[in-house]
Amino acid sequence: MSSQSQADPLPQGWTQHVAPSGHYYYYNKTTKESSYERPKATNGSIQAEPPKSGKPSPAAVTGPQPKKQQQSRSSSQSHEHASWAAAYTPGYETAKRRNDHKPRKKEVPKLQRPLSLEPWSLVVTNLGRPFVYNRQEKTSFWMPPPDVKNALDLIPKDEIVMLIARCRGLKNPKDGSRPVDKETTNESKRTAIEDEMEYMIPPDDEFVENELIEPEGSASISTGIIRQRNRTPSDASSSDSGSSDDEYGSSDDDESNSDSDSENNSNPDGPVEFNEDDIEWQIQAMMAENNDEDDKEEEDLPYDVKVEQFKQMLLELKVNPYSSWDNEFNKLINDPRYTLLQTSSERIAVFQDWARDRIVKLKEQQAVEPKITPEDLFSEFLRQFATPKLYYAEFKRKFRKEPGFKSSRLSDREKEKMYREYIDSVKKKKT
Amino acid sequence: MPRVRTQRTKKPPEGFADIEDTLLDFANRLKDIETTPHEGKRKNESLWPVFQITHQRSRYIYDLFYSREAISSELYQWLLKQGYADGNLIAKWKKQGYEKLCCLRCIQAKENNFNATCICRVPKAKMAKDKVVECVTCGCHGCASSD
Repeated sequence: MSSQSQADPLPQGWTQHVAPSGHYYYYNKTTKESSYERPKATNGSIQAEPPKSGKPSPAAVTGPQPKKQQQSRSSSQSHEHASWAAAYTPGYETAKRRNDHKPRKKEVPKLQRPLSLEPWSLVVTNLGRPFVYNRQEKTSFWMPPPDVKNALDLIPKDEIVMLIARCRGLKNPKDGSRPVDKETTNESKRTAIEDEMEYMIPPDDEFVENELIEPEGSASISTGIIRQRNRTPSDASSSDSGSSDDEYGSSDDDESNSDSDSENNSNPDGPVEFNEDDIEWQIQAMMAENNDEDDKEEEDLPYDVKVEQFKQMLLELKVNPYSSWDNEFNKLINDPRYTLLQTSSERIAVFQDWARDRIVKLKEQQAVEPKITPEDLFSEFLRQFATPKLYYAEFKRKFRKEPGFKSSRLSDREKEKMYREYIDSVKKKKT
Repeated sequence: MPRVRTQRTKKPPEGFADIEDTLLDFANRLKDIETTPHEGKRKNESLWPVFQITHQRSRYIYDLFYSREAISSELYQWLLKQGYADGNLIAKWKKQGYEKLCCLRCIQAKENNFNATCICRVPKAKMAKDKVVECVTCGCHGCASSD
C-alpha cells in the first residue's frame, strides 16, 4: 500500500488519513465519501467501480470513516435483495433496521458452510444474512439459483438458524463440535482449527484484512481463527486442505494481498499490534454498538437464568407441551430468547423438562375444574335439536355433520341410548 | 402403520385426545410422501422419508412416556399395539449404545455384504473428517450414541 499511496496526487477534495489499524484511507470532504482504495484523478472513483451483480458487499471495510461509503453500497444492494433475505432470515428486518439507524455496523461475511452441491457454499454475514457463494467461480448471490436452493433446503433449518445466530454474535456452543473458545494454544489444537477452516469465510484478502482490524467488541469465531492463522502462517498454509488456499493465491486484488503479506511478515507473532489509539477507538466502537449489548448481557447470564427465560418463552408462545419439538420449534425461532440456548439438543432437553412440568400443572388444573363429560355435551346438543318427531336414525342422518354430534367421543350406541332416553322424558313431560 | 379408527373400534384410552393432533400431523406427513415425485431419486432414497417419519413418531411417543411422562402406561401400550410406535425399535433404544438407533434394519448385520452393521452406526470420531454419510436403508447421517 505504501508504495502505491505515494504514487499519484489525490484528486481535488480528497485527503489521506491513517486509520487506527494503520491502513490508509481517503476521505472526500465535499461528498463525504471515504474509501480504502485510492481515488483516481478522474471522476469519483467509488462510483466508477461497478458493483458486481449480486455480490453482497464484497469489500467489507472497517475503520471509523470508511464505513459510511461501505454502508451506502451495501444498503443499496440489501434493498435489491431484501425480499429473499427477509424471507429467509428471521432476524433480517431487525438487522436492517439497526443498520439504518446506526451506520457504524457494516456487513462482513462471517461463517461459511459448504453445501452438498459443489462448489457452492452458504455464507452468513455478521448481520446474520445468508447468501450463497460459488467457490470455483467466486460469485455470490443473495438469491440462490434454483438448483442451489434445492441444496439449501437439504440443510436442516435448525443448523441454519444456529449458523445465523452464531454470526450475530452468539457464543460458541459449550458442548458443540467446534469449541473455538478453548483454543488458546494454536499448535496443539491444530486439528480443531483445521476443522473450523471449513466454516470460515473463503479468505479473500479483503476479508482477512478486515477481520484483523475488526473491533474487539465483536470478536468472533472467525477472527479468533484468523488470528491464530496469522500466528502460524506457514502452518496454516501448509495444513490448509487445498480449497481455501487456492482461492487465496488466485485472488486478483494485488494491493491488499501484498499488504496483508507485509503485515504477516512484519509481526509474525501477532496479527496487528494495537496501539493506544486503536484500543481507544475500539472501546468507542464497542460503546456505539448498543444493539450488541443485549446480546452480551444474555451471554453473561448464568445458565439457570437462561433456561428459566427459555421456559418463559415456551409458556408465552403457547407451545403445546404434548406436541413434538419438531412441530413446535417453528413458533420459537423468531423469538430472541430462542438463541439463549445454543444447541438444539440443549433446547430439546429444556423443552422436554418444561413439557413434563407443564403437563403436571395442566393435569392439576383439570382435576380442580369441573369436568365436562361427553355425556353432558351430547345432552346439551340433544336439548337443542332433538324432537320426538324423529327416530334416532333420522336424527342422525339430519345432524351427523353438526360439530356437536360429530365431535362427541361417545359411541353410536351410547348416543342412540341417550337420544331415546331424552325423547322419552320429553314425551312424558308433554303428557 | 396404526390401524384405521372407525366408529366400531374400541375407544382409545384417556389422554389420546391430547396427542391426537400431533399424531395426525405425522400421519399427514406420511401421506404426503406417497404423492411426492420420486424422479431422480434412487430406489432406496424415495423410502427414506418413510423411515425417518416413523422413527420420529416412535421417538415422540417414547419421549412422551419416558421423559415427559405425559401419557399413561395404558395409553402407551395401546399406542404400541395400534402401531403408532415401533415397540421393537423402542426396545433397542433402552439398550446401551443404541440410544439413537435410526431403524432396525441398520443393525441387521446379516443382511449386509460383510456381515456388519450399517455405516450410520459408526461413530463420527472413527470416520474420516467431513465425510457425509447417508445410509442406504434409511438415509441416516449417523446414529451412534457418541455422536
